Amino acid sequence: MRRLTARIRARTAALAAGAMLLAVAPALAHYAGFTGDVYQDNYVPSGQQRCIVGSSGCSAHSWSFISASDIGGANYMCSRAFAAGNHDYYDQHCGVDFVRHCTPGQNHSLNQLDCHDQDHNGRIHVGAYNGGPGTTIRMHGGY
Amino acid sequence: MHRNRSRVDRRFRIGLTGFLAALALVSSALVAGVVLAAATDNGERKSQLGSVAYGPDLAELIDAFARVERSHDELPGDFAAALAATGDAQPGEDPARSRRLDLPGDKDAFLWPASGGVCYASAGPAGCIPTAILDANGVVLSTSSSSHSPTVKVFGLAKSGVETVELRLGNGNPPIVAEVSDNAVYVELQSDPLIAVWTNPDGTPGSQGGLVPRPG
Repeated sequence: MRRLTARIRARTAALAAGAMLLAVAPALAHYAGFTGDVYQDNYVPSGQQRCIVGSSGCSAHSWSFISASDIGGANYMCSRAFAAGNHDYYDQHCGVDFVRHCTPGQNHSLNQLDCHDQDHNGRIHVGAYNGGPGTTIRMHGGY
Repeated sequence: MHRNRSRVDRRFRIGLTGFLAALALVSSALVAGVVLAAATDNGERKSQLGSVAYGPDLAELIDAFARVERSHDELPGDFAAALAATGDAQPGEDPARSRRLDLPGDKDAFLWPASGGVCYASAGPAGCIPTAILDANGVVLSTSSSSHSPTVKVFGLAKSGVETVELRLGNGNPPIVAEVSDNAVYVELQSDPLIAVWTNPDGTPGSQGGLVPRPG
């Protein structure tokens, strides 16, 4: 009887461990992502910071360049810029799957990538809007 | 003593069996997780870094990629340094193979290939879209707008064969009919567009709404 109990316990523990991992593993690729109107992003390259406007406000940095990528699907979504001072909405670029933009007047050329490096008062904070069915947006502030 | 050892051995075996079962489940879970993650997050597409040929599909969809490269097709600015600085180059994104689109009103825009997609930069919106979506929808529109100006900049990429895109406005004014030129439309509006409609090359209607979601 004891042996049977021990065996049942061992197998139950093993199954519980496996089931727990089955439940958790698919979420790993979401970088612990968020869903909703404004997303935060955990994609932070080594040695860089991100300033994200979310429900809890904005932290310590500002950017001239934004990109936003829908990593949960190819939906229509926007990267949004917010004023660095009061976090008021400033502007947005919207598109399918991946958008990038530079604070207005800050790009060196038509190339939106070619953006001034915070050398202007128009520094921004970063946010995103997801018009899709609630998938993870990877926000990225740069420069 | 022997009986006790035997009992211990049995418990050890049971424990070992349990551990191995757990390990097998863990491995399966991780594999399942990786597979699911790839399926649900476009992980495969997002991880295919490196320059790839843009293939016949892009050239079939957009005439500019079927023609010989011209001297003024080159994307202005130091795109290589900019991509490196942002660290957000899309898989296979290759601005060195850009094409300039000549749009009405002395406007232009640039396209360049990515893996399974095409990237764009206009006087307004910029980004990258999957070619599969362009092929399926016929037209893919993007917008840029702001809180301090009524102007909405609309850029649309149209696959070959789409002739016009009609933008219906939110202010009640007559719709704007933009002619597709060089597979693209670019329009600056003084009102938010409610919906865009067009006719695909096979005669089916296409549309895209929700183009300018406003905060709040």
